Amino acid sequence: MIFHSLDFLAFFLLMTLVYWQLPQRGQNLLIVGASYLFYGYIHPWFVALILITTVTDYSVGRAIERWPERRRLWLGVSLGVNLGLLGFFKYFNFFVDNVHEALAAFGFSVPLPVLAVVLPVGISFYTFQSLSYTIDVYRGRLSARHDIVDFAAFVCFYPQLVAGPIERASHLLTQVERARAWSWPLARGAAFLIVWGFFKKLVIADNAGVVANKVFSLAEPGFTVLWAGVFAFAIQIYADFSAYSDIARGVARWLGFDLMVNFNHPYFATGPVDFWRRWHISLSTWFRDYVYIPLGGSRHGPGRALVSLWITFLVSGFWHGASWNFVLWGAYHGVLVAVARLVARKPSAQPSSDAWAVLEPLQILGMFLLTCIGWLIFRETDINMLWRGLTLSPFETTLADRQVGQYLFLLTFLYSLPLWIHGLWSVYVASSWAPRLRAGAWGGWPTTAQAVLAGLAVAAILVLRSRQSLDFIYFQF
Amino acid sequence: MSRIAGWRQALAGLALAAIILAVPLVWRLSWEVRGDTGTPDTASYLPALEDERPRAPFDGNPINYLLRAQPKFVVIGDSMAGRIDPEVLGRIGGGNVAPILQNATGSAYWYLVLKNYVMASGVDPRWVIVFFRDTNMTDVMFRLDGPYRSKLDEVAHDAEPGLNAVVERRLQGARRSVHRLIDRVYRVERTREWIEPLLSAWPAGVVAGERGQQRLLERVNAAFELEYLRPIEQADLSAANAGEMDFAASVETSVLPLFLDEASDAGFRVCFIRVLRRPVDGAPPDEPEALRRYSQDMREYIESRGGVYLDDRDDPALAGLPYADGDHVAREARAPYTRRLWQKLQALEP
Repeated sequence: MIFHSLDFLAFFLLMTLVYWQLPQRGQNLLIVGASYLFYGYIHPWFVALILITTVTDYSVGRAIERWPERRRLWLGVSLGVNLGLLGFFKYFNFFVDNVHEALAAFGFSVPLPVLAVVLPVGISFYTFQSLSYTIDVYRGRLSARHDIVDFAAFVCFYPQLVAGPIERASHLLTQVERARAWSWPLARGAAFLIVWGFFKKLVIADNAGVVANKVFSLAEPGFTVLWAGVFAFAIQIYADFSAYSDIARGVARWLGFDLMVNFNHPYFATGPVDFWRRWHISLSTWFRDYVYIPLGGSRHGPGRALVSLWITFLVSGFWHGASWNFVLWGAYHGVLVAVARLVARKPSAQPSSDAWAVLEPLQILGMFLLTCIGWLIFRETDINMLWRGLTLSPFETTLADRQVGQYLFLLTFLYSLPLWIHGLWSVYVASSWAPRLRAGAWGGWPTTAQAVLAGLAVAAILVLRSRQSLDFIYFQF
Repeated sequence: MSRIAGWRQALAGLALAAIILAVPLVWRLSWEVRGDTGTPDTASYLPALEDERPRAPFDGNPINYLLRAQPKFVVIGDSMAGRIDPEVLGRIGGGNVAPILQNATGSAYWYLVLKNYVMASGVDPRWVIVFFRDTNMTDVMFRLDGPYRSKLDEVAHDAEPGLNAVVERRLQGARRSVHRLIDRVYRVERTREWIEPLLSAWPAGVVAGERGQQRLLERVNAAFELEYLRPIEQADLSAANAGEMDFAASVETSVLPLFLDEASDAGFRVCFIRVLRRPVDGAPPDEPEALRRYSQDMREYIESRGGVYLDDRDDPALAGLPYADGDHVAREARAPYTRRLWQKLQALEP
């Protein structure tokens, strides 16, 4: 089931209405049932996969508690089952294709099996969420849970099941276990968050997505058209993914849950390290805690830290999809962050605070350009086309290319204007008034003004939504 | 929280919801303001799709044109039908040719041309020739609404029960009812008709100035023509929407049965020609298996109901003709194309 469908609207209203009539135990049971319905709505067999993950990790948690001396073995079981499922459904064909090509390079033509099955949506998200539980229990940071219903509700909580935010047990599971109370102010804020999410998805992301898809379907785009397309994709992916997170957070709040903030105006980042503090926060902190730190983090000197960092980004890229361009994207960001860290370590690289303030807009612009290069790598799955795009000279252009490119750029900018205004408002205006509202959606405004703003967003959704409704991008991961 | 405080909060919530739902009424208001200066609203001939709105009047001139021409050939379609050279066909076919073509139209328009012009005029052509691309003939929604409606208005009477029934079958379901309700309250589609061109024109004006605006928009469209796309995208586009490639599932929600029935009642021979999309290296572009099956099913359906189906993909000679932009053949290719078509029609004569 997708958020922007009438089916979901009916499902959500009915579910919420029943939910608040039930005691806490009943609510958790309803969350599990509703989440399985939500997840298996199109492909019911998806539910079997999430059941396997749930039962495995619940049992592993209990086993670690009961036989702590064998906890390494039990963690291995959890990793094996979860990463096995993920690897099989997400990476099997990638692996087969590459083996096939490698053999072909040596003159062997061996027929290899290809998996003709749809990738279960959100498998990367709930797998990581569930894994965080077993790893935390293994590390002794969390006690094993005894109630499988509560645990199942944590793994399959439908608002964030298919595209995050990737929650930790210490944050979400504890909320599942607590009694929840209805709050009108929270529900109001949640409604505004949901409307803002739908606006970002249907008006900004889908319209920018049409431009990006058109440009990336061209066989030989000129320089200006190509980069206008990359700009459109940058807008699309941020508006799309952050929209999902906003809707998920809003929906969760209606059920009495608080999900973590997943985006904090990443295109206002002043550098690579800052960008990763603002982009897909739930995933970057997951990789920090469960990959980077176990690899040694910064405990074994700066050289080893940089290598660990780079490996972490490489794995993070691969997490996004079974394609070399994602690996390259991860490697690219790994290099950016590593270089940023090296530069930051030199005392001469730190100007005085006044100079820093003057430089900030340039830093933001520079980081946005670097991010866009990353998005070209991320979006372009054809390696030859990627190389062409990265090496395309700005002088290889024509008047038609310039004009069409400028047109596409302006059109995308026009649709994304509310996103930039919101960013400027949140980062520079609201932050000085109420720092706690930085990540909120128009949070600093009076309630009536927010309602008018939400009304304007609904008005815009009605007439400006793209005629081509696109899937949420992160569903494919 | 006390019970009274709870009720107060609930009422406040309802008031906020009312504000959120009331603000978009600005679109309705905007249309009311525009309505004062424009054509008054009239009931739609497609009530399955929309309520009342201002409409362009029926254009009866083509009926007089047909009466004067007394054609042996009537050609119907969009710009794809421009591959016929009427002069050449008239000369070698031994009769007048009446092309009733309109760019950017779809099967609903072509059906109304047959019914409201050709049949209404009482002329008796030997052939009615209809040009279409891939799945257009079974997609009644193709170029039916939004900016295409004004063209449809010109060929539609005040009531079009046949076409409306087809549209209703196509749009059935609760989801559509909700959309219609929203449209009725906020006048969404009517607003989109003026707001969309405005939004696309503004950046063009900034880049190319007022005088170059239209030219730039044409240039933007041309930049994404089939010939500039990657091969896989070309295959996808020429295949149209995968969901539309099931002929059996789509034919009953299309105007094709009406077209064939009415032509048969009037005693016309209808020839449907599926045009060849722009060739790649002198050969027809790739097409998926589903579209191949669709075309075969369509051929059988049309032939079983007395019509004629010609697929230009089946004629290797046509892939060698020069093309202009997109799927349009070059001007110099029109005469050889027309001669080739006449050969095929002659072979079909009893």
